[in-house]
Amino acid sequence: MNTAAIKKRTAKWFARGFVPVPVGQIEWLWMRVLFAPMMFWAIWDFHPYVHAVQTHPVGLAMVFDLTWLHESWVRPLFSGLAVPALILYLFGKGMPIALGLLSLVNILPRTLANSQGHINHSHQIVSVVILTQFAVAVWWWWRQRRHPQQIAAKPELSAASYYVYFSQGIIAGTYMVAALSKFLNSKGMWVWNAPYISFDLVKSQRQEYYKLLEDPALLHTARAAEWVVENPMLARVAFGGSFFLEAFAIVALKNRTWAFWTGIALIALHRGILAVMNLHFYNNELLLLIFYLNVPFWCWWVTQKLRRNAVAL
Amino acid sequence: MEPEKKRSTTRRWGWFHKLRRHPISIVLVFVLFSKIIGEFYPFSPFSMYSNPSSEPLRYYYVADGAGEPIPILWHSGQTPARLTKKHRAERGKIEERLENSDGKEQLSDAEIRAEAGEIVLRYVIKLSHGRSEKRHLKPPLQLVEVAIHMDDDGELHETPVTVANLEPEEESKP
Repeated sequence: MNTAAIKKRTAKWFARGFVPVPVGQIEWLWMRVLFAPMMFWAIWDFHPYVHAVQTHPVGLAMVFDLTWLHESWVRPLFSGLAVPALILYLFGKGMPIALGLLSLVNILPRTLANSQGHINHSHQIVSVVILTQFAVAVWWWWRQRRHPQQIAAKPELSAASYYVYFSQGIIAGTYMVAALSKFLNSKGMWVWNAPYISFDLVKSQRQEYYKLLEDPALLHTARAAEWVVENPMLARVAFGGSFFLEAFAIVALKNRTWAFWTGIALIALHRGILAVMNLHFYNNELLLLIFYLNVPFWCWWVTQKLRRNAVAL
Repeated sequence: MEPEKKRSTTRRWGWFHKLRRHPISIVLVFVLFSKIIGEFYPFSPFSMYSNPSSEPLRYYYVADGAGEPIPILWHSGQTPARLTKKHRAERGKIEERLENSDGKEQLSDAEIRAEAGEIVLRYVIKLSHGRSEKRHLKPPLQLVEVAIHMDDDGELHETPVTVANLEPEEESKP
């Protein structure tokens, strides 16, 4: 196959899909039912409220003093505001107000927690998904008023299609920006220099030990690090795979099948990182499970398939 | 512009105009925006582990006066990983202060590390005092820095150094 043919086939592959698809109301309800507890947990968590100062402000803390979030009345108030907002969200009513409120009560305390000089990246993905859904809610509300004819022209694409599409897209975006940072910060040498990640493997194992001093085995040889040092080329292949998986996470937007398999691959990547580095990515995994794997849809699809086969038989 | 030239330019940028109108462009804008704006919660370039190199990699843990490690998560709710980040951020702040002093204030690298280390130790003490009494931390405390490096034979080594000591009378410093 020559270059022109490859180019043509690639263009053809990218030309199909990658757009919002019809999403069933039950399918979208399931996603909300699963995502709502995640949001509540993120807001209910007391950790972001323990800080009385913001020594290294990030985000909104660079503009506003957020230390008032430390006061004892704030957490009960924010959690209290989150409850009606989550009920509205579950019922799919008043989405711009519900998601606006949820964005606010989620992002403010997390901004304060990240303004202490030690940035934690595990909650960003939840916050950007809430913020994205808020943006979709506002846009849909505006579109209903200003361009109802556009909605009527494509009745199969409800608001749910856009909520799901952009949630999936922003999740993919967080992986893509990580790959872009790797590429730019290492001047394109990330995959080649990947064997030096052995330093990080040792570091994460030791840091795990010094948390609670529970497992002295963590002070001994870091087997994964040794394997990387002894097999640098294989390590490049393994880490290279993860790099390209992050860089091309956008293929999840092609259709539900691609979303499913991309979700499986990314969850496997996180499980691998957990095994060798003791780093948890629960939020990422749960979001992939909800918006990429979309288990309720596939259960419905299999049931339909079986029913049709039964009728044919 | 001549019509022929205009048509050629339109063809050349056709893909861009197509992409601009495609919903996927929002995702691409998000990627570029996150990279450009940096750490601006909830946006982030997620640059951890983005530049593996042969330079020594450091982590920190807290020890008592005798140099014995203490379970810092139990005491303060903070992990060694966060203290490592905190130490780096405090070092950056001190270096910035020195730069702005136009040479009036000068500190060696060890002194910068020690000053940043003391800030980290006071920080964990303060956090521990927000918890139940049995978790309270008291000086003497040490902040130990461990450098992970590779020798010429490709073997990994770890070198610990105490970068900061907080003695009992120093606790009351602002």
